[in-house]
Amino acid sequence: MLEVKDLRVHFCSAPEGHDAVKDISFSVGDGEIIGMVGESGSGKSVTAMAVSGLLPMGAVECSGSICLDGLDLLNCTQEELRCRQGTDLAVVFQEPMTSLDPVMKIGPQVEESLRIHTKLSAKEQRAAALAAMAAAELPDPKGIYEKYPHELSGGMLQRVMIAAAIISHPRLLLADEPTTALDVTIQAQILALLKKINAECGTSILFISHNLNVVRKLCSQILVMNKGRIVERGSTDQIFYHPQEDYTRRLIAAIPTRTHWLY
Amino acid sequence: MLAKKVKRSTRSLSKQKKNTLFIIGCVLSGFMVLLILISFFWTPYSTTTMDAACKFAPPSLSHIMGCDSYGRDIFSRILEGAGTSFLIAVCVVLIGTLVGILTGALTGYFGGWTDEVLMRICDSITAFPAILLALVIVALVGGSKVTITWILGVLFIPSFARIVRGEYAKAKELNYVKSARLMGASSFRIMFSHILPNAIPVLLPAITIGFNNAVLAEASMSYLGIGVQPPDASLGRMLAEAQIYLKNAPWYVLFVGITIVLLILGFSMLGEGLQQKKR
Repeated sequence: MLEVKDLRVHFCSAPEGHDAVKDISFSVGDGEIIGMVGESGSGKSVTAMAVSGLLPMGAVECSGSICLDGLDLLNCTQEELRCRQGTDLAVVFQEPMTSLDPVMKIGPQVEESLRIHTKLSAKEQRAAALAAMAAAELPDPKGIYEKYPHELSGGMLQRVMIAAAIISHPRLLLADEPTTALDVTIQAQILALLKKINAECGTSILFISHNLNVVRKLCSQILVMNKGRIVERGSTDQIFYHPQEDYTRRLIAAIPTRTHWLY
Repeated sequence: MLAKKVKRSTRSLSKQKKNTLFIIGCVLSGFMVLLILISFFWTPYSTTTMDAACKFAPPSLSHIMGCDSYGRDIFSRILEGAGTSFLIAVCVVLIGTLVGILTGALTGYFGGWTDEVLMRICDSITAFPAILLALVIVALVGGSKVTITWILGVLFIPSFARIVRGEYAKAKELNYVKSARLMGASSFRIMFSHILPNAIPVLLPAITIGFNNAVLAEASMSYLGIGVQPPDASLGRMLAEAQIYLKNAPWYVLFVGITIVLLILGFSMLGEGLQQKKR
């Protein structure tokens, strides 16, 4: 469904430029959860930005292709891209606290993509928003509908973001470190929620994280990125039990274990 | 412990202060606006009827602010003059804010050459001394209420545009704008239904301050004789008239001056209060 081929992202800001992503290729099939791991600066977030169409077009050059259901997102018009954003492709960010408009109530923000892309009546939108909020396991959707972002906790806000993302039943959900800003118990709940959405709606998920434990719980396939390249790819078991690359081995060795807790 | 206590007490003090500032501003400007609104429908005397018997009459029960050189009731004329000045200032601020928001939004959100072109135009407007520029234009097209409203309106655009531009440039990098973009929202929708409501807390004090400046600018232009033309009353015009009779009827100039001060004081306190409330 999502096919990324020879994607290269070149930042023009430095005099000689800098390749943040170097010729990577991968694909996400229907209903799959693909994990993308790597340290900071390995190019995973830039890849996510390229897929979602958020790269500042003046400052970067992209080559290769990103095909979502046959439409090349890198070479289509702005209008074609906007039609896909919020309908087929939805994104959940790292920081739920800043990802919502502070002066807008939660309800209208969850409905936003319906308001933009459909001509549903206000009543139907509201019903859809409440349903999506219930699906995102928010307690008391009707009450939260009328609240402002600052009245909710981080975990709740991330659920709101997920509700806003799934309201239009996207085919691909791009999750860019969605659990990093949350504490561990909430992390587990959000992961379970993403898994449920994947199972119930068949939404494919591209899950980006630096946290191997999180990826291990969620994903069937893992891509390991380092310095702008995909250094290793394979099923979760393969990566964790039979890592081929030295870098992957070091990454796995860096997972905190009980012995590390001593100091 | 003591430091904590002191800190708390200063904080509560400043909180109290900003509330009183805001409340006094509200009451004062509300009172002035109420008087002006009433004057649109009713004034104690006709503002143009002359009564030779009352020429330079000092303040009394029948004419609470006395009469001018033609025997016209000063209080009625001040009400009408304040109304004219108020209307002109409102229109000026309206033109300045609307065009300023549009310019600021376009330049701040898109940047690039849109930003360069529009902001350089704004710069060139600010480069001229406002009154001088107005004088030249009035000399070319003739002075009237409408002309000076347009001139001042255009002159007020850059200050609003600059404020709005800053807010937009800041906001476009924020996550909520990015996530709106990722939902497929058009630039227009992002600019006006997402960022604009967030810019209002900054815009509101600027509007009240802009209103004050507009009242002053109109008054000074009318004072110089290039603004509102007789027989229409405006505060600036009346001040110019009154200064001739400073010796015969000192209350005339006094009452006009006090009205200008009250009108401006109310709104500047309101603006100050709003600005502190934001913090």
